[in-house]
Amino acid sequence: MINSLDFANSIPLLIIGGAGLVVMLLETIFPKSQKGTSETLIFYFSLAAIVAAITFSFGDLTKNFIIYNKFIRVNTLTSVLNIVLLTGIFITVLSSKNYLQQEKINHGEYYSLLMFSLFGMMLMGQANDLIVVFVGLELMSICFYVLAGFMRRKVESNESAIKYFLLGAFLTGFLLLGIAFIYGYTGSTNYTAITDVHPQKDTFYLLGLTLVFIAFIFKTGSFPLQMWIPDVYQGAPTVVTGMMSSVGKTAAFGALISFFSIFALNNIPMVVAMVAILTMLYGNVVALVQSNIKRLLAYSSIAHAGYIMVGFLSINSFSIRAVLFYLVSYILMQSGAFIIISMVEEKTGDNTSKNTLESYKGLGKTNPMLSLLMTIFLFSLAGIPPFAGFWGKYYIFLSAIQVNYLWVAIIGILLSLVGVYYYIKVILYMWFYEPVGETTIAYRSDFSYTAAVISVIGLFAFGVYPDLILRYLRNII
Amino acid sequence: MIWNAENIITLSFAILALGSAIMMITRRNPITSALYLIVNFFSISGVYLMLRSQFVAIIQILVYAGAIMVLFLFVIMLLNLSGEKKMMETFSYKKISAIILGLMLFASLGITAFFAFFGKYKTMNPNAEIMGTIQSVGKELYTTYSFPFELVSFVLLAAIVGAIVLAQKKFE
Repeated sequence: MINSLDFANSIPLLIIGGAGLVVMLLETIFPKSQKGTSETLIFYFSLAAIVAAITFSFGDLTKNFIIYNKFIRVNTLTSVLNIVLLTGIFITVLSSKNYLQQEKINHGEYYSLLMFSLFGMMLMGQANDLIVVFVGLELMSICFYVLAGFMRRKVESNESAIKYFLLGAFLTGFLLLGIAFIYGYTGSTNYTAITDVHPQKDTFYLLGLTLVFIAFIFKTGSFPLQMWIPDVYQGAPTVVTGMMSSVGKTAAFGALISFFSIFALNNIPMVVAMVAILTMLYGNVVALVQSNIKRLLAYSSIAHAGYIMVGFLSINSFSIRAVLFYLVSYILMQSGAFIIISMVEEKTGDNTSKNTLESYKGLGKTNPMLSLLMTIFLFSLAGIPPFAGFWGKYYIFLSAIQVNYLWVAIIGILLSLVGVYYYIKVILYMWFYEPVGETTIAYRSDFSYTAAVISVIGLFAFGVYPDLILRYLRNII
Repeated sequence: MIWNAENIITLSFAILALGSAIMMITRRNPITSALYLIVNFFSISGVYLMLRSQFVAIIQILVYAGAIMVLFLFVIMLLNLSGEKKMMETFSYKKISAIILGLMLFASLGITAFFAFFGKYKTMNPNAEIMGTIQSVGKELYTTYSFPFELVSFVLLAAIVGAIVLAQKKFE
C-alpha cells in the first residue's frame, strides 16, 4: 500500500512527473495568438521545476528507503543520479529555446516530452523492480523517438526517428524476455526479493540476465549494437542529439549500475572487457574519418560508452564512484559540445554543407568566444588535464587497475590517445585555418551561451577540485 | 471425456478454431484469409472463456481481433497486392523452413497434449481457476502493482502526445 511517507520521500519524482502534465496544460491555456507568451511561460516553468527537483534531491542524499510498496529506492546513489540527470536536462532546456525558435519548431510539447523522458530516466535509476526499470525505459525511449523526429519538415529527422523506433522496439523485446526469464527462475521481479532468493547459476536465469544486458548494451550504444547511433544522432534536432547522447546514456548506465550490483554480476569481467575494448576501438577508429561534426561526436560518444563500460569490470564502491564521476563530466562536456554545434549550425537552405567540419574553419577568427568554449569541451572530451574529463578517465582506468585488469586500462589509454587526434583536428580547424566562404554566425542566443558557460564552469571546477563531486559519492555502499 | 454441455461448447469452439485456421491458410485472396483469421481469434477466445480465463479471452479479442487484425487489413489494403500472385510466390527454402518450423510447433504442442491426456496434469490446478479471472487480475493490479500501473499511464500519455506531434496534419 502507498502511504504519505512514500510521497514525502519521492518529491523530485513527483515534481518532474507533475511538471510534464502542467506544461501540457499551460500550452492549451493561452489562445493561439499568444503562442509566444505561453512558450516563454513554459520555458521558465520547466527551469523552475527542474531547479526545485534538484534542491529536493540534495535533501534526499542521506536517505535510505525503499518506498511505494518496494518499487522505488531512495538512497545516495539514486539521489546523485537524479541530480546528474536533472542538471543535464536543465542545460538542455536552457539551450533549446533559441534553437527551437530558429528552426520554427517551438512547441510546448517539446518541453512536456522532455519532462516525461526525464521522469522515465529518474524511474530507471530509482527502480527497485524490473517492471519499473522496463516502464521507465519505455517512457524514456518513446519520448526520445518523438523528439528525434520533432523536425517534421526534415527528411533526416524522420529517418532518425523511424530507425530509432524500429530498433528500439526490437530491443525492448529482448529486455522483456530477459525479465520474464528472471521472473521464471526467481519467482519475482523485485530486487529485494531477488537478493533474498540468492539465485544460483541456472541456464534460464543466466539467459535472462544476458538478454537484459543485451538490451542495456543497445541503450548505451556499446559495441555489437552501436550501429543506430550515428544515423539517429545525425538526423535528430541538434539539442535533442545533445540530450540523447549525454543524459540518455547516463540514465542507461545508471540503471546498469543497479542491475550489476543487485545481480552481483562480478563474474563476467571478460565479457565486459571485450565489450568495452571493442566499443572504444570502434568509436575511436571510425570517428577519425568523419567529416560531419555531429557524426564525429556520435562516434566519439560510442568511444565514451566504451570508457564507461571499463568501470563495470567489477562492481565495487570505487568503480561505482568512478563511473558516476565520469557520467557527471561526460554529461557536461557532451551536451556542452552539442550546444555549440547547435549555435554554429548554419541557417542556409543547403542541407549538404550543414554541420560539416569545413564550417568550423576559421571560427576562432569570426567568433572567438564560441570557439573558446568549443575548445574547452573538446579538450575535456579528449581527457586533457585541467578539465573534469581527465579525472573521469583517470578514475575509470584506476578502477580497472585495482581489480587487476591492467591490460584493459592500457588498451583504453592507448585508444583514448587515438581519440585525441580527431578532437584536436576540430580545434585546429577552428583556430589555424582561414574562414571559407561567407560564415554567418547569425544569431547570438543568450540562453544557449548561459548553458554552455555553466557547463564550462562545472568542467573547470570539477577538474581543478574533483572533491566537489567525490564528497557526495563517499556514502555510496 | 464427459459429454456435458460445457465440454460440448468447448469442443465446438475448438473445431471452429481449427476449421477457420485451415480455411485461412488455403484461401488465395489475402483479405479473405485475414477475415478467417478474425474468426479464428474469436473462437480461440471462446476456448479461453470456457477454460475460465475471462481476462485472457477479453484481451485476445481486444488486442488481436481489435488492434492487430485491423493493422493487418490496413497493410494488405495499402500494399494493394495484385491478386494472389505475390502471396503464392514459391521458394523452396521458404517451404522447407516452414515445414520444419511447423513440425517443431506441432511436436511441442503434441507433447503438451499427450501429458494433458495421459500424464499427471489431468485435472485443473485449483489456483488456475481464480488466476485468470478479471477479479484477481484487477485485485493484484490495484493493490500490489498500483505504482507501476500508474506509471504506465504516463507511457500511454507520452505515446499519445508523440503520435499527435508526429502525425497531425497542420502543427503550428
